[in-house]
Amino acid sequence: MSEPSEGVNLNDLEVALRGLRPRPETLDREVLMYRAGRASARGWGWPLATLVSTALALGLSVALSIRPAPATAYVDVKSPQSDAVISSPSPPFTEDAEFGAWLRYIHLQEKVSLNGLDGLPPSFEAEEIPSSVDSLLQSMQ
Amino acid sequence: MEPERLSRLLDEHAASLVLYARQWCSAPEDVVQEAFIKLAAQRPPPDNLAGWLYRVVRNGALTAARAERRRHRHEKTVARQTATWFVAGESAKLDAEIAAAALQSLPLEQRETLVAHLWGGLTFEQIGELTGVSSSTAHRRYLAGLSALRERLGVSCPNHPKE
Amino acid sequence: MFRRFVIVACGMIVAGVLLAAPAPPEGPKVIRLAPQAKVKEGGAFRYRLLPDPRDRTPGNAAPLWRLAGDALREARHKITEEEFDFSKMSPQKLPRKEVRILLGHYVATLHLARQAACRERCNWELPPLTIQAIQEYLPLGMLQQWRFLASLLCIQYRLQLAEGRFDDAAETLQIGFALSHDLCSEGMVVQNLVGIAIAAIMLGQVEEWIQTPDSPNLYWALSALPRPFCDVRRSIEHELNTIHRSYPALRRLRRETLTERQAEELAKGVFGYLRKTADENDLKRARQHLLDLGRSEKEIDAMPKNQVLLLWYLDEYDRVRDDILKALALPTWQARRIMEAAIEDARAKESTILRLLLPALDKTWMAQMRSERDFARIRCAEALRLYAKSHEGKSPAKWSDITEVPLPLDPLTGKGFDDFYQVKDGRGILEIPTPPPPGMPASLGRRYELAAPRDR
Repeated sequence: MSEPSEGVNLNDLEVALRGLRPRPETLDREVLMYRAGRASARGWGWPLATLVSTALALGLSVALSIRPAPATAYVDVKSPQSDAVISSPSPPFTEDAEFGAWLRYIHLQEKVSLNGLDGLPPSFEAEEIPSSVDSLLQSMQ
Repeated sequence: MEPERLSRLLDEHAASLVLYARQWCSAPEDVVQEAFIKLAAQRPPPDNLAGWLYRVVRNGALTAARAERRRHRHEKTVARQTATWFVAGESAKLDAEIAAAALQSLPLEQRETLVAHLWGGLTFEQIGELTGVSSSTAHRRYLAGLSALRERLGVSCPNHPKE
Repeated sequence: MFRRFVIVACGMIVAGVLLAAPAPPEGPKVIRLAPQAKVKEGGAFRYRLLPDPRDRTPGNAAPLWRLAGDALREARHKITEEEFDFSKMSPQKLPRKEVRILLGHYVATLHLARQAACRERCNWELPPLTIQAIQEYLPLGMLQQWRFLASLLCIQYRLQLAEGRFDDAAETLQIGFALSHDLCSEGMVVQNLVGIAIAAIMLGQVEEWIQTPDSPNLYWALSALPRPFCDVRRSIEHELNTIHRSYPALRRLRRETLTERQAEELAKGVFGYLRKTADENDLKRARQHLLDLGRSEKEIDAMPKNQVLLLWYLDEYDRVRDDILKALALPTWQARRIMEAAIEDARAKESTILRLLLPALDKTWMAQMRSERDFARIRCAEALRLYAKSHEGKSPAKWSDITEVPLPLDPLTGKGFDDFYQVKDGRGILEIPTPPPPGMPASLGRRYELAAPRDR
């Protein structure tokens, strides 16, 4: 497709806008290059191990700090009963990753059902995760 | 990735990426920094570097924006930031603050497309892939955004028919 | 001077009124039915909209559809916006040379797609959907490619129609309808919705066909298609069972008494992902629910509180799920009332899962309903053309005068389309209104017009 901003026939407004330069970034290049150097020097096992352990630690600490104490759902009451064995326990649930993916999927379904093919994103990761169950419910018709 | 190449990429793209990330969050430089660090760890480096960077920055900015919304800081912070989006070049015909304010008043999808194309240098096909629409839709958003800016800024366009 | 002023002022007032007058309301799309081919057409099934069973090959279509999508993505040529517009351009206005050049870039894609369409079956072999693994296998990239494939097929089809090559055009339609049908054969709701959208695009191409003079009649080709063509029952049921697949232990709740720890772990999983907490009121309601079902106080006291809550939650969920499955098991006109009641019931419940799932499932089912109606109304249009062909171009005085073929029923009502037919100025008009739900654009309705004999 022809792109109106290439070639000589530039729109006056486009020219004027391009005359503005984005404010120079103030990234700390020393820190960035140091961290980039470490990131590129490691083998794949290092970042994977670091990521997994960091994610676990972060996830647990975030879960502890932000999850409100459940009201009454989880109550320790001793009562006589048989020890029924559940042969296939539910898979372990980790915090935001799965929850976010689930909400993202629901949001995607809603968009495609409303907008048809135009509701399709190029990838699942491009789909924004709704910020909460309530905000998602409010946005759904 | 060699440090020299990374440094050149920073020179070429960092400011535009920060401007792009600023559409969502109030700490765009953190997001851009993380994107370059991730880039350094890619083996092999992605073929389409600019497209890759914009995608990673976009995702990072969206995540940061969600965190900010939870802390109820987003709207106030963005409003404070509009004055510092641009610096006027030597031949600038527009006032930087007024242009930033006009841009900020556009719907996000138009604003994002304008920033990615005008300052990021992305093609409409790349923008379409980035934002999950067809290149023709990206082009339409761009034209709609330009048209709206033209009204807000009072810039006439005698050489092109009205969109 | 004054007179001039009055004239100008009146002119301005009139102009203002005209400009301020509301635009005429958008109406149904008008389709002018063209006269059919007069020559014998070689049997009722000379033209088909799915590959002839004799052309089918053994095997699974899914890998070939994926290969066709890969070939499209990897093609060196990138379709421009102008080229995309060929898919909507009138066949008479199509720049044929440019279109041929464009199609030349996608020979491999179209060949693979044809092969896929001719496979006997389609099994996407997707793993069962669970909350924990939702993002591992969503074929979103492929869905985008198949969307573009549908546009490419439309471009090829329009060229074939412009050149009067009805056999080739029918083969192209077969590929599009096969893709649509295969996308709805199983899998996820999102995939089904894409299938329904592609079916609608293909039906739009059929409407071009029936407006083309001397085009063969497609009544039997349309009638031979599976009904419903886009069947979303399996995917909706699959989605509704996601919570059971994600937490298999839920299925044993009704038969066993869990330990405290088991019940707590299960409750944390189910309620945790919904960010839901239960309170004493919920517990009271849960206990009462179990008592109403016939459980004894002693039995309920023996259960962990979390199990009592989970049973109540699960029973509510399963009841609404079962109502939806009942509706899905019935023909559309019988199912509508049951489905609408189930959706209303679910909205009144506190089940967050239902409130999250149901809007999209409801819209998906409505999309199937509209699709069924679309197929039925085009069959009606072809029935009208068949009547005109055997009556020297005349229109039937009333709908039931058409006896050349069995008349389709309206899937929404289970009745005929009689009420939508009229004759005006010697011209037979079948005007089918916008489908539900309320608020759908008027352009989704159709007005099929047979030209009066003097116009032909």
